[in-house]
Amino acid sequence: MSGLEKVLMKGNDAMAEGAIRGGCDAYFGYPITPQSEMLEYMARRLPALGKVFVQAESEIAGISMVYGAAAVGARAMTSSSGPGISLMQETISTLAAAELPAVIVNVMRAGPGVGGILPAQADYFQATRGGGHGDHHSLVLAPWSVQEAMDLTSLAFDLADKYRNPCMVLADGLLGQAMEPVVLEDREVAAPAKDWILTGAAQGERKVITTLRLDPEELEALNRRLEAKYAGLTPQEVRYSTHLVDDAEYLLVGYGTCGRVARSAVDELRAAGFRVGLMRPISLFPFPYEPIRALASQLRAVLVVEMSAGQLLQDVELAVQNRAPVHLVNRLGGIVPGADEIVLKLRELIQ
Amino acid sequence: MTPADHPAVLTKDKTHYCPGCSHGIVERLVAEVIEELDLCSRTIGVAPIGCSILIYDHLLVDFISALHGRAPAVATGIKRMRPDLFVFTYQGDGDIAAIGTAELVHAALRGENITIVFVNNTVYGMTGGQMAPTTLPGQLTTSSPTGRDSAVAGFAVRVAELVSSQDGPAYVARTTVADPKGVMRTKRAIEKAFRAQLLGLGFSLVEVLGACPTGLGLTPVDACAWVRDSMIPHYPLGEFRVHERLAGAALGA
Amino acid sequence: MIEVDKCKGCGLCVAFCPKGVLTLSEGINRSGYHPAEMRDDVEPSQCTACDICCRMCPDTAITVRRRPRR
Repeated sequence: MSGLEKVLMKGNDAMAEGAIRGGCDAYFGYPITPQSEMLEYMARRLPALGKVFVQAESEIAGISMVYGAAAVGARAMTSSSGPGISLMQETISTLAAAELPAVIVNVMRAGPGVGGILPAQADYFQATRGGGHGDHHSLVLAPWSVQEAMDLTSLAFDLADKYRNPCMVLADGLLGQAMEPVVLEDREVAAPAKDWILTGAAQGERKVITTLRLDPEELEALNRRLEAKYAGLTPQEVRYSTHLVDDAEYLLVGYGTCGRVARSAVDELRAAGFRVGLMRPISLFPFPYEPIRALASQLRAVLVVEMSAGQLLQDVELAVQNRAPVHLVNRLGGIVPGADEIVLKLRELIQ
Repeated sequence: MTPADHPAVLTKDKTHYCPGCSHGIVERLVAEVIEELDLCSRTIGVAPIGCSILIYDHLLVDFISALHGRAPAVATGIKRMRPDLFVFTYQGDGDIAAIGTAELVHAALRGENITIVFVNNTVYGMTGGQMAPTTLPGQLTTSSPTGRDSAVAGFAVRVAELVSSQDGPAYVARTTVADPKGVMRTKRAIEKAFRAQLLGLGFSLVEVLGACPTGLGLTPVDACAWVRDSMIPHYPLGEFRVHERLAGAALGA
Repeated sequence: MIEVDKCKGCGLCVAFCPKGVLTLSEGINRSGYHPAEMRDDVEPSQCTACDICCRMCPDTAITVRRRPRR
């Protein structure tokens, strides 16, 4: 596949292909519904390209292999769903502390616990608040189409290397399974020089990658450096899209699959004469607080659409800062809200 | 090279280890073998969680610190990307036989071309001497204060046998550093294990029975005696898997 | 030759020396340990330079020098 080609692809496959086009050197993963196709795609494609593929014995082993590979300069990744991402948290925290790049794809399913295999967005807090112990964050990107899923997975490798930090692609089971046409473009991969990696040097030139810092002042210094790194992501890595917000009195906010559904709701409501717009975050960390805040004063109400129990809601409330009332319409358990439910809810609010 | 020469990749500074701790001996042997096999400039070590977490301050080669139990997986990530480098892990009882058992077994099953140096001293030293999976039945530790009762706390795991019973390992041995002959045999085993990796033969592991005087509540000399008298009967010494291409004499001499 | 301040007085060299030429000193080093030393009631020539002491030392505090025979 090369040049400019349009093909029908499943979301999971597209993200894997996006990773390969983004310069992925190694994939270490474990099967879990609804993303096992990504593992299988990598098993088929990577060895033929002379890249590394290992099916690890667990998600913990997989992310540990990513940690080792990153330490020697590889563009390494793993993918999983919520339960597996939960297992990986100790190492995700450690990747951030060691300032190592890694790409982690979470194709969200409904929880908590073993839950179900249908789509959800309830790993939002886990993804955007760091997820593991200690003060740390991953950059988080949330695609809403198979095309965007592919493109953002490619981008994730660039961001991970640029910031020497884990970068997460947060998709959901619907996106992972859906098939949509995608344009396959050849991409120029420009991985930066990495003078901080382990190379096998000894004595005077050797390096140690460790996150143990028993001295509190040393550890605070590391934490402050990470704090500054994360603060510095705004504004350049803030990504979002809007639909019909300029004259909007009501704003829908939703990402990923909920962004898609909300967009349909906007169009339906506009057709019925309501001035509604959509704000769709694409970067969940850093979150587009400012763009939402800037819209808030013109609004009569904000309606958050999510497949979780008020997680995105909190960030929207933080953004809006009481300039307008913020409401929630949500489905849980693996159910995707329909545009009609959103339309109904907003019409109720307007009354 | 005689033991009288201080290996260049071993620190000249004091270590944090307790008096008589076997880690000091084993680390020195690893340093000697790294030098003798001319690996100083192409080695990456993976450090554990445990008393030897600071091994990277003692062995002056490139090192990465792994989370508890994950060293074999971390080593896998490194070796798959850089098969030209020599990659080894250095781990204790908790790392290998408790939290990290899956990683250990699967690295062995994959025949991962890495080397594991496993120091078995039957206790968790760093956290204060608790029971380990390698603690012997009846043994007193801070979390088996009346002696390990197998009826509720299980039995002691034999890692060398566990690993060598599977296809994948090229070299598995168990030795001890509790006496001078044992120290010499341990060095030869480590060298053989390193050669297994250098020849690309697959997974290698040396389980070294050592003393934790502090954890055992014994003097260093008595702790070494305890290793010989109590541990060896449960953990027999020897080579459990030797790839046919690993030429050379057996360890005993 | 024993590096006094590196020695932790563990006693392994003393116990394993086949000639019994070592002992732990009465004095203490900077860390408060009783470092190992040659016994003052044996001839230095009793040491056969077998290297067992430095092999057993966990702290590489011992270096064995062989004096050339006269």
